Amino acid sequence: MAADDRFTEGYRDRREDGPVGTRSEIITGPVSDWATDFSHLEPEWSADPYPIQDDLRQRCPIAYTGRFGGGWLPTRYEDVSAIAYDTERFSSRAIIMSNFRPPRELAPVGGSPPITSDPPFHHDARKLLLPAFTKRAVAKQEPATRAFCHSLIDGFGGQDVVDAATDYAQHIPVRVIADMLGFPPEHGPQFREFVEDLLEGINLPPDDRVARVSRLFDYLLAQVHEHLGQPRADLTTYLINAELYGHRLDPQHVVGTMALLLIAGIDTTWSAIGASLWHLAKIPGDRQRLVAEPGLLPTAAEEFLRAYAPVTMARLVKADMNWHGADMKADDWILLSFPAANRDPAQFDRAGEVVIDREVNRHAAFGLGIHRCLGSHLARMELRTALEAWLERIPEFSLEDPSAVTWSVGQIRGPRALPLRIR
Amino acid sequence: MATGPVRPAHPGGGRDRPRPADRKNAVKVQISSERCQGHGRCYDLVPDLFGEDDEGYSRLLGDGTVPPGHEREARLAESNCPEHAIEVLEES
Repeated sequence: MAADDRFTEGYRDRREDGPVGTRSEIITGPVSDWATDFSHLEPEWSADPYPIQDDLRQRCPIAYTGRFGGGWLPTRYEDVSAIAYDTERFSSRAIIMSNFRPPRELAPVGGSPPITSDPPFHHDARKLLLPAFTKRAVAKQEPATRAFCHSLIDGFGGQDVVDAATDYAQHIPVRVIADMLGFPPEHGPQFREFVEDLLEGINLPPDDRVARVSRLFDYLLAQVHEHLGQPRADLTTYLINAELYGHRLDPQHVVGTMALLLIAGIDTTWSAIGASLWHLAKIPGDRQRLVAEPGLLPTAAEEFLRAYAPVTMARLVKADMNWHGADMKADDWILLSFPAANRDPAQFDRAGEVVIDREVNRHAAFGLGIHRCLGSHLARMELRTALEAWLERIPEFSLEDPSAVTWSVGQIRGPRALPLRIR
Repeated sequence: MATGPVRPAHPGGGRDRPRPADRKNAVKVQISSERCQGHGRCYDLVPDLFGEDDEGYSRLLGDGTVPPGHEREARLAESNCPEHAIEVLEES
């Protein structure tokens, strides 16, 4: 087989050769009115976004902000779902609402296919990945995930108080996705830095942000070279060898997809596990019931996903239009809040309550339409396994100090410090 | 305050819950492959009736006939599908 020359030094230059995107002014500080000046990066939103969303749904269901160069926030289920389905008017070319818009020429592929891809390319890029993420395929990881969860709990030793976010939840998806990509598990701490750089460093100065994102791509390129030298049965080797339309993938596609799998798999699931444990620590009745009725756990996990949906996506408006009364301009952002949709009383009975035996739960935590979370089966397996192991080993636990709980900033929401008393 | 106008693009939205099964009629279930996005709620909840294909999309395990006594399960799958891809039909 001929040497693979796709990932040589010139690869990075080619990445930077093309058309440049546009930057908008960085605006931070307290929000004056959530209907006209919203920001998902302010502390009030991070601490508790649900009252803000509930208020907006009542008085201004498609809110606006001039921050980030302009954007919209729909809070009704029907508007969120309509936008998720409407790939004609809304592009996925960027899915993190920030002060940078990638050039339009980047569509329909985008920087991290398939999450940043639009039809028709999206379908083909997604098809390459689907078989590795079916429920049956990810079930193979369950025994190792369960053993890993137990080893983390073993590691608590005789401590009375542990941090369920940093000592437990965050390690589980890191280990699972490192295994799938074929990255050394001891690089886990680095992955968490990459996640913070990409998803939380939104309002940093542009040069700083570029430098941070480069660290991730340097790492991924090094992993590609490792795998070129020593191919193995993992997703990295699979992507290096994969073909689309009779050709191997563009190097940008390979590395962009690796970035997606690494980043999207980590803090989303970490957040879901952490938010579920936070709820159970706070509501003893729900905790006791799940300990007594472990068979209810899959149903309860769906309710945690609905009520504490970790993931908000973004879209870019393709062309000027009036949409459901909102005067949208081309390249305006849409902050596509699945968490807000999941708490719409028009869609759910007792929308604001956590009902752990909710039987009918048509929630949108994993998105709707063609971009349904590729890793949803993996996430569900990790969430259920992590909660089962925890409840089996630690049936009694409570919040050590509610004021010490902190939440992530940005589009992925979950606890980042969660001290729990476990004995 | 009413905040739930009809969503024409994707019928079937709004509140819904499993309807009681009608024991007299044969019940069939069908999947819209146009709508199914592979969430897998149906084969998670009702693995006797639904399975996944090699890409995670849902498929019927039989010809779609719901065995007597399993009507409620079929309704459960229908009412939990985020894409409204499952329909339970009653044939008289």
